[in-house]
Amino acid sequence: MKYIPYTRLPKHLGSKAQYYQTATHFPWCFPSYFIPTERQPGIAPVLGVRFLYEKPIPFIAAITTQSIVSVPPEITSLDKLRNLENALHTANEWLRDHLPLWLQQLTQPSYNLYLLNNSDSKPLLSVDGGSAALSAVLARISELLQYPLPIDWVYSATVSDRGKLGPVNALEAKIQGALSMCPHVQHVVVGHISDSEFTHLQTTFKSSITVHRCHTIQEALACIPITEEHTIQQMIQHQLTYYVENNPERLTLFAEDIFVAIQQGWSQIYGWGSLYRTLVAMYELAKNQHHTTPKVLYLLELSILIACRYQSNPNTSIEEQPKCILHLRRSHIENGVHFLNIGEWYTLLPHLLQQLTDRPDLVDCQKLLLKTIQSHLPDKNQQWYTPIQLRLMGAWGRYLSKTATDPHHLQEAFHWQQLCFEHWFIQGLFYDASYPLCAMMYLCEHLPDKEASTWQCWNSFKRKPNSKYQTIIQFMPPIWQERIKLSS
Amino acid sequence: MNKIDSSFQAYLQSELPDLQQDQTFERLKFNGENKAGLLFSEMPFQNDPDSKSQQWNNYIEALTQVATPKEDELISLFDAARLVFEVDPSLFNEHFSTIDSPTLQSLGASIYKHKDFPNHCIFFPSEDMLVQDSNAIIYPNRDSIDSTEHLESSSQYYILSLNHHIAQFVRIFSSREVIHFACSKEGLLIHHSDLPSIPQISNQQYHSVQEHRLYRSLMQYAFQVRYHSFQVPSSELSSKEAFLSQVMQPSKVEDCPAIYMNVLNKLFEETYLTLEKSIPSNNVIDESTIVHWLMQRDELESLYYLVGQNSPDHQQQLIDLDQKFPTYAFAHILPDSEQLANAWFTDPSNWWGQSAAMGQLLSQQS
Repeated sequence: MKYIPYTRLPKHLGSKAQYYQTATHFPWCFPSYFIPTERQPGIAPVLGVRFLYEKPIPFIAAITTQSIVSVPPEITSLDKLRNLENALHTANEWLRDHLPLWLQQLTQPSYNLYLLNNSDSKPLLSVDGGSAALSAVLARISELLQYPLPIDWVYSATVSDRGKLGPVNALEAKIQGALSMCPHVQHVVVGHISDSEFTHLQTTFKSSITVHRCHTIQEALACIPITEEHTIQQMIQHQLTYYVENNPERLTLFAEDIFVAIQQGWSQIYGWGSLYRTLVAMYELAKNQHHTTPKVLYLLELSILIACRYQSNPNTSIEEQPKCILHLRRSHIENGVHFLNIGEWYTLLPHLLQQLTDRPDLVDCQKLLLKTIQSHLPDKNQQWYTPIQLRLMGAWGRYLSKTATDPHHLQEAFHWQQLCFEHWFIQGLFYDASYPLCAMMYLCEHLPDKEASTWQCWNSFKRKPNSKYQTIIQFMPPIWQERIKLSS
Repeated sequence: MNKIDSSFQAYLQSELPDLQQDQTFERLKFNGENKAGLLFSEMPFQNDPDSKSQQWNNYIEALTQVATPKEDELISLFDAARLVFEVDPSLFNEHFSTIDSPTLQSLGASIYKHKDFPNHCIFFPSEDMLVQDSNAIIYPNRDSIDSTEHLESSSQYYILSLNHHIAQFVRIFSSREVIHFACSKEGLLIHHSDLPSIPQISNQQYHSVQEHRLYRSLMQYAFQVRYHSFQVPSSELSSKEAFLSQVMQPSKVEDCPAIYMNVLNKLFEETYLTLEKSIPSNNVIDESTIVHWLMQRDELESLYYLVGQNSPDHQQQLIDLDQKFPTYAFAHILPDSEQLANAWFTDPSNWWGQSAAMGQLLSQQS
C-alpha cells in the first residue's frame, strides 16, 4: 500500500469521487473539497502513537460504532487488544447508565477501529490502551443524535467508570501528529492532566491549536460543538424538546426517568448545570401544554430544585450560589404522598432535607419540612435499618452538623452518623459507609473525645478487602488525610 | 520497440524538436481487456489482404465494429460518468477503478477506467491544464450542446478512446509542462516535458486579462510582436498585411515554437467568440464590463498580429465585430488604463483605446 498525501490531492471531480469513501470515514484528514456535504454520524477521530526505537510515531485512526461495509484499500481495519477492549467496555457501560431513556436505542454499538495510510514495511495491525475511549463515547453520541462530529476537533482521553476523563501517554506527539495530518484541526480535548503538563501544551501549541482540558464527559459534551449553533450538550436539549413537544406520554416518561436518576445522584449525560437548564426548558414547555398532568409538573419542579442544589458549592455564600427559578413550597410536601408511592416518598425525603442543609434560601416551608422529616426518622434503637432509612438518617446527621449551635447537637449529629456508618458497614455497603465516616471525621474537629472511636471505625473500614479506601481519602478533612498518611 | 512506441517517439521528435527530450514515457496498460487488441490474434494472415476474400472482409467488418464504439456503449459510459462524477460520488467503487500513474499523480491529474468499458478511460486534468482537441477524445453529445456547455464539460473530464489501432495523440498544456498521450488499443503512453520557451522580443510588459499562465505568456509575446511593428518606420507600412509579412521574418521576430500555433489559433477563436457574445447593449451601467470588453478587444488585436496572416478572413471578422460595438453609448467612460491609452497613441485605428487616451490627456491638463 502506498502512502497517499491526502492534504495535497488533485482537486477535480474524479479525485473527489475516488476518495469519497475514505473521506467519509476520515474527514479530518482531507481538505474541504473532499469532505462530503452530508457527513456520516457515528465516527470519531482517534489520536494514536506507536513507538519505533522508543521514538513516538503518531497516527490517525477512526473509531466507528458500526463496521464499514466496503473498506477502501487505503484504510486498514485494526484489531483491538485487551486494554482497549476494556476501555471501550467501560465507556459503553457508562453510556448505558447515563444515557437518558429517550436517547437510548436497542442496538448496541460495535466499536471498530480503522487506520489511514498504514505503513508497508511495518504495518500496524492492532492497537491497545484506553485513549480512544472518549472518541468512542463521542462516536456513539454522534450516532444517537444523528449529527456528525466537527472536523476541526480531535480527542484523546481515557474514561473511568464514573465518566471522569483521564490523561494519556505521549500527548504532545499525538497533538503534533494531528497538526501534521489533519488540515482543519484547531481544538484538542484532553482529560484531567496535571497543571504543569496543561501549561506546557498550551505554550507549545499556542498559535496552532486550542487545548481543552475536561475533567468529565459532561464537560467535554458542553464544549464540543456539533453544529454551528449548538454544542453536543445543547443539541441533546434541542432534540429532547423536539422529542417531547406535543407528546404527553414522552414528556411523562422523561420526567419519571430523570426524577429517578437525579435521586440517585446521576445527572445522566447532561452534567448538573446543563441538566438544570434542560429541566427548566422542559418545565416551561410542560406548563404551556394543556395536557400536562400535575404529577409531571411536580416531578419536574422537584428535579429542578435537586439539580440546582447539586450544582451549588457548599463552601460559598448564598449570594454566590446559582439562582433557581423555584422554591420548595408547602404544596410540594403536602402533595408528595398523592403523587408518589411510599417508597418514592421516603427516597425523596433525604433530598429535601439536604436541600434545607445546603440551600435554605430555596426552602419556603422549613418548619413543615423539619416536622415531616422528624416524623419519618426511625428510632435510634432499632436493631436494623433499611437503606432508605439510613439515607434519611445520614441527611439528618448532616443537617444537625450544619445547624448545630451547641455541643449537644453536635453529639447527636455524630451519633446519627456513627449509626449510619455501622449499619452500612454491617450490610457490606462500604461505598455508602464512607459518607458517614467522613462526616464523623469532620465532626471530630469539635468533638475531640470521638477521635478514638472514629479512628477505630476507619481501621475496621480499611481492613475490608473491597472497601477501596484509597479512593475516599480525598474526601476526608486534611488533618485526617495527614494522619492516615503518617500511619501507613 | 513496437509500432505504437516508435510512432509516439517520432511524433514527439517532430513536435518538440528543440528540446532535449527525455525519451522515456510511462505506459499504462488496461489489464489486457481491450477487445480491439484481441482481434489481431484472429487476423487471417494466411490470405493476402488484397485478395478481398470473404474472410478478410469479415475481419475488416469486425474491426470496424470495435474501432467505432457502439452508440449504446458510449451512452452508458457517459451516463455512468455523469452519475458518479457529477451526482453521486459514493458509487465510484461500483463503477470505476483508478489507473495508477506516478506521472499524472505528480501533475495533479487522474485517470479512471470503467469496469464494463475497458476500451475507454476517463481523464481528469488538473485545474491548470489545457487539453487540446484530438481524435482520441470523445465528447458526450457533442452535436447537441452549444459550445459554452461543451467547454464547461470538457474542463471537468474527458473520455479517451483506446479503440484505435494507430496511436492517436493528445496534447495537454499545464502552466509549466507539456504532456502528450498516445492512445491506442495497447493502452496509454504518457510523456511530459517542460514547456518550450516563448521568445522574448522586447522588455515591454503587458497585463493580460487571461487567467492561465500559458495564455498570459502567449499574450505577452503577441503584444511584443504587435508593438515591434511600430519600431519600423511608418512610411514603410501601408497596411497590417504588409506589416505581417515583415514582422514574421526571422530577422525581425524570433519564431514562436510551432507547438503553440494551435493554442494561439484557439485563443483567437475563443476571444473572438467571447467578445461577440458579450457586446454590451446601450443600457449597460457597469463600467467595468465595458472596460473589460475593451481590454479583451486589445488582446484580440495582438493575437491577430500572430495568427492573422494565415487566415485572411480574420480581418473581416474584426471589422464586423468593431461595427457591432456601440461606441457612442460609452464615449463618456474614460478607462484608467495605460495599456488601452498606449494602443490608441501608437495607432489611432485602435479605437478601443481612444477613451482611455482622452482620459489621460484630460488628467494631464487638469
